[in-house]
Amino acid sequence: MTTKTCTVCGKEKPESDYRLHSDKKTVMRYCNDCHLAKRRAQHAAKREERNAQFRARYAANVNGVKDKHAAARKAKYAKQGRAALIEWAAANPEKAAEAQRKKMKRGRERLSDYYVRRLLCHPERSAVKQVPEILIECKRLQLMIERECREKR
Amino acid sequence: MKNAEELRDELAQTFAQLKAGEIKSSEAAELANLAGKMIGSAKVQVEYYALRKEQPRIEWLESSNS
Ligand SMILES: [Zn+2]
Repeated sequence: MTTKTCTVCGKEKPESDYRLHSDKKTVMRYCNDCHLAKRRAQHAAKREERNAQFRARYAANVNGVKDKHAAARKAKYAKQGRAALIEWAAANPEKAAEAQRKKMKRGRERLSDYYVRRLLCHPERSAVKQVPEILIECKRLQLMIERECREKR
Repeated sequence: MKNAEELRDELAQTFAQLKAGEIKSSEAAELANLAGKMIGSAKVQVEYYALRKEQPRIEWLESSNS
């Protein structure tokens, strides 16, 4: 059995542990294990770049994937209803807290009705079931002005 | 400002003027501060009636053209 010393790991291994070059005759200078390790490293190095590309494509709604996901979520919610969602939240407290955090973050950025309503009358601290629409509108405008003032300073 | 609708219109106008640089941010901040107080006192009333499970009309929150 012919053996060969790998130029990367320095181990002596049988030639069957080496890959052939694309000419299918000459054996590579580094063993198969080292070859795979190198490939994996290259793949990992490109990973962040690739993910950023995918994220950008998703955000730009290329091929309408984002819309499709939104429609699927909506359909799922319509099918399951609010009760099932509450049940899910009780069974998955960590995921639910994370989802809630995201929702609030989005709401804070956009000053959504949900966010402003919660600011005015937090469901856990308030007896108010229905916050008057006009109060939400006023509060949102107040916050918009305050933000703008802070930015201009 | 006799009701919430007027306050909303005033706030919207002020925001637009602030964006356009037509008024100083100190002026806008003053109105925002006043608005905060008015909203706060309306909220107190809403909370009070919700606790008592009453639903009286709160004049300040009523629409002026209805
Ligand atoms: Zn090797």
